[in-house]
Amino acid sequence: MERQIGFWQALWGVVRPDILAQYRDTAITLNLLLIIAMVQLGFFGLALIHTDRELLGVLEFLHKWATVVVFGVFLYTIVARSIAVAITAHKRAEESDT
Amino acid sequence: MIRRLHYFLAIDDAARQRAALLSAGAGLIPGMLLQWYGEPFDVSAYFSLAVASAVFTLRIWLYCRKANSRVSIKPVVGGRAFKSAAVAAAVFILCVLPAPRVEAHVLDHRLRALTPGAPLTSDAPKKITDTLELAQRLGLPVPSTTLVRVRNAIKGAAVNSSNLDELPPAADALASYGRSLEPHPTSRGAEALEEMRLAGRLAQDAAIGHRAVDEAEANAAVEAYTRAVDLSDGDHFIQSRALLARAGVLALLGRFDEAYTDAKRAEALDSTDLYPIVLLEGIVLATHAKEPADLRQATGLLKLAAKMRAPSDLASSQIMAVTTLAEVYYDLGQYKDSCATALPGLPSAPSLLRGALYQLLSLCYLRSGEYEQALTIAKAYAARGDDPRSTEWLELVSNYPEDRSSTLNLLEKKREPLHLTLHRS
Repeated sequence: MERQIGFWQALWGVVRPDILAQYRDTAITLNLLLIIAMVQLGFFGLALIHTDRELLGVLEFLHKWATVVVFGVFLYTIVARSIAVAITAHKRAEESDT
Repeated sequence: MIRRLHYFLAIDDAARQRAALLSAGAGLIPGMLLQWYGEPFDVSAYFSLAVASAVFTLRIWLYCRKANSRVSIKPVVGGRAFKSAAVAAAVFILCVLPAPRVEAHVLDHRLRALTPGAPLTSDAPKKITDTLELAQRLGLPVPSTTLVRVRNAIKGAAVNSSNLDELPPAADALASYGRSLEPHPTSRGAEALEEMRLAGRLAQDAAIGHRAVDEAEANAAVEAYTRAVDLSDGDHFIQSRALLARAGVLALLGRFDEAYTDAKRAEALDSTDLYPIVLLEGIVLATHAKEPADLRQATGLLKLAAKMRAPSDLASSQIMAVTTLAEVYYDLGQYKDSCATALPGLPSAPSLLRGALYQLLSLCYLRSGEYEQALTIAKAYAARGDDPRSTEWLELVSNYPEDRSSTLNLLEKKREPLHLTLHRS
């Protein structure tokens, strides 16, 4: 006997690969942010032992930009994925129509 | 192509991560360079993100163009263990990390960096104010050595008359932070606090309407504070508070040298309550000044005290700072500054001080060449009718245009210096 597939199950079957991929990307971003947070703690420690202000300033500059690009690229991957999913869904709909 | 796009986004983690890494690097470099060459951070950041996005999109397009090549499927984050470990580490750090302690260390470091051995920089007082207000708002413990360092830096700046416009808020923030700390007394310390509460009530009763002092009540308050000092049981926090409170009452009684000794003792016990310290040091320095340099140092301290927020138990002492400052300006020959300082203090001055203030003001105006103003002040002084010397004073001021130098000399001889009046009061 053929097994009935419900609406939500079918939907999950369609979006599952994208959601899992997004989950993996998010995990990687969170790991990077964790590393960035640890580096921030390192700066606190360096400040406490009165490390040269100029050196700390350079390190903080690099750290700030690392945070900017990690966040920025992550946000852009979400945007790109959304656009791509919309395009693929449209194409699939066209193919099924024909 | 659509299939390749789907593979790229959903399955080929390695290719996606390579694209992300490449675009991050491509965005990072122009953004940093732009900021390095003076562009504002937001402009540089938007440009950086635009470059990163363009490179990421280009990578996707190039990937999708390889229509017939094999897709390598190799998840970058495959192991569940690794993900679990990362989440566990994040939760552990969030739970175990003593965030307030780290924040307190950061504020401590900031305050230390702002108060090097050298004089304060022009923006340091504002930053000190912000940092201390933040520490107080968040209830963060700043070490007492740092607070003392800040106190000494502010006092040093006041003595050198530098950053005077920004100093009072910084001094207020320091005093407010010090007062916000809660004592943790021993049993004898608790008795000392009880004595201080009693003394506080007596001191309040002693300063009747900020115009006169009830000597008996004030002496009782001094005795109660003395008992509190004895009972403080070596607790520096309680002892310094009791000493400063006693100094305030002694100042009300005109016993400035004793008050100053108490303030210095409290200062040695790391008190950060700057108001009584700078006020009393300024008054004592002004009254015992031997050199103009002493007077100039007193000016800085008194200016700071006059612009600070006086604590409620010392509200009546603000006029002391103003009148002594006016007197110091007069002694330094800065007559216009003296007039500008003394005139606003006239309405709130106690009756004993008011006569001496009228005299100082009319002399200031005469020495500044403003005879009409001097005459108006002398007339107002005489019109009050509560000082027998005022009529003679008005006559002398009226005679000034006829014989200027001898009248000035005579007025100087008749004038009662304000600091003597303060001591007498």
